[in-house]
Amino acid sequence: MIPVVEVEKVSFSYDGEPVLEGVSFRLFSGDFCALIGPNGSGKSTLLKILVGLLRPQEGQVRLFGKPLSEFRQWHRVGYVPQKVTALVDRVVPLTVAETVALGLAARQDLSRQERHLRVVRALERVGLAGKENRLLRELSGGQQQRVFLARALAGEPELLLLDEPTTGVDFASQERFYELLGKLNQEGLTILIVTHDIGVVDRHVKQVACLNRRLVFHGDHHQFCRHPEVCGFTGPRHHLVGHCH
Amino acid sequence: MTFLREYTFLWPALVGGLALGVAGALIGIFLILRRDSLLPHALTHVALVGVALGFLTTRWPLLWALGVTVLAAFAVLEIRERAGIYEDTAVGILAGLGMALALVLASVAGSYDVRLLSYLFGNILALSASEALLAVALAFLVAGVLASRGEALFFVAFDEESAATCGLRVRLLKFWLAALTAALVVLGMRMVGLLLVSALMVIPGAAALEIAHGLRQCYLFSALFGALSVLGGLAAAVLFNLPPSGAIVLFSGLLFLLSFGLRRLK
Repeated sequence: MIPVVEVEKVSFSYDGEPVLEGVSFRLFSGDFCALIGPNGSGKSTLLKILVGLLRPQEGQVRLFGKPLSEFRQWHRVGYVPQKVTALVDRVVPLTVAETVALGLAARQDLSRQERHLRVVRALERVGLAGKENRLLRELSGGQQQRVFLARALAGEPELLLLDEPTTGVDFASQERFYELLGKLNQEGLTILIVTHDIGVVDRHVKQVACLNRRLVFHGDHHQFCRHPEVCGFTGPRHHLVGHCH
Repeated sequence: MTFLREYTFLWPALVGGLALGVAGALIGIFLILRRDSLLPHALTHVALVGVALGFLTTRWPLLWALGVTVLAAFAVLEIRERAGIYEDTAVGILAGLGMALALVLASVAGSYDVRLLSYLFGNILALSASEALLAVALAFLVAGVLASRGEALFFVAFDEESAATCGLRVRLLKFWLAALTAALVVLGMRMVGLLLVSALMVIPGAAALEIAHGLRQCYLFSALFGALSVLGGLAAAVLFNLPPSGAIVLFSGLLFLLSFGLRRLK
């Protein structure tokens, strides 16, 4: 079985300061993995490497079996960047439907009708059907976050990458968002999510990859709670998370 | 119509002005969303270097201006990405250096006089028929680019990082935007002068963004405000014997105030 994501001995540094050192892991179809770690541990950097925004100085990344340098099927990958809702200020004139359609901007092969159908379908999947003509800036932070998720889903990807998607969103909206991700995962979507919220690991995901420049842990989320090195940097408060079965 | 038959010299000003007003306003939307509203202002200063080079070589000042301005626009993109300089700092450095170099070159060329000043304030009424046709061609090019790649350009202006991950050729799109901005700046410099051309590109777009509900309305209002600015300004200039460039930009400012007020009334 070809891994959806294959990271092999990847290293990266900013101006000589190492951020990632020899990181290797694989994700297979249907996986739902949280990428966690302290600030500056290289989580967002790794995600940016996966979507081709940064090039690793050492090692190799393969998506769907293809080296990143040869990978062209970006419609198979959906990406929700960090703090994306911060872009929505009072001058942005986009409607919800137009925002979601941006996710198809590179798909010149799709007819107008097909594009419309995909936008409607993506909004239905995130529970925002009927809000197509609302202005994006008029929605709540949680709803905006779901619009950006719909934008990533519009291309009907097989792999979804999210970088701290619920930052600045209230707890109830966060819970709804993660439940939605769980549902999408059950539909077959492979998901890798960068998060600081260790509670998410316990409640929603199947796997955890823990970074602190190098990969400290990758495996089942139940085992994660008991891993001694992980407890070392997540702190005593998180060590006490009591949902390990 | 009798008025226009009588004042035939107004035709190039009207046609060229409308074309540039509409095209500049449309491109202005993208500049505002990229927080790049000062880019045309900096480019006008560099365009003056091209004009001075034209004086120095005694030919084609506008062609020189176009070449130098397009190169400068590309340079700004590169400097920001590679040198890690703040955008407004890069723009400030470019504007200052451009103006200084232009003054030195014009002085060396012995044209530090009224010819140089004519580019500072422009004169839409002195637009030739060929310049008006050039403006129309540029407007069609802008419309063509927006019709075919408008959504992609908007995506890049709004959220560059996500646009890059969708497989869009972000760098190429940014170069298109920079090149169109540079071309509009150079032609706009003839029309309203380098001191005011950036205002004509930014104010109608800003007015449209105040009241537009959706991208399509944004394009529509922006083009409309660009056209109305030129028409209203020209009419005021002819009727009240005002400097056309100032009247055009003031009219666009009036439209901005109206849309700003309208939004607050909603």
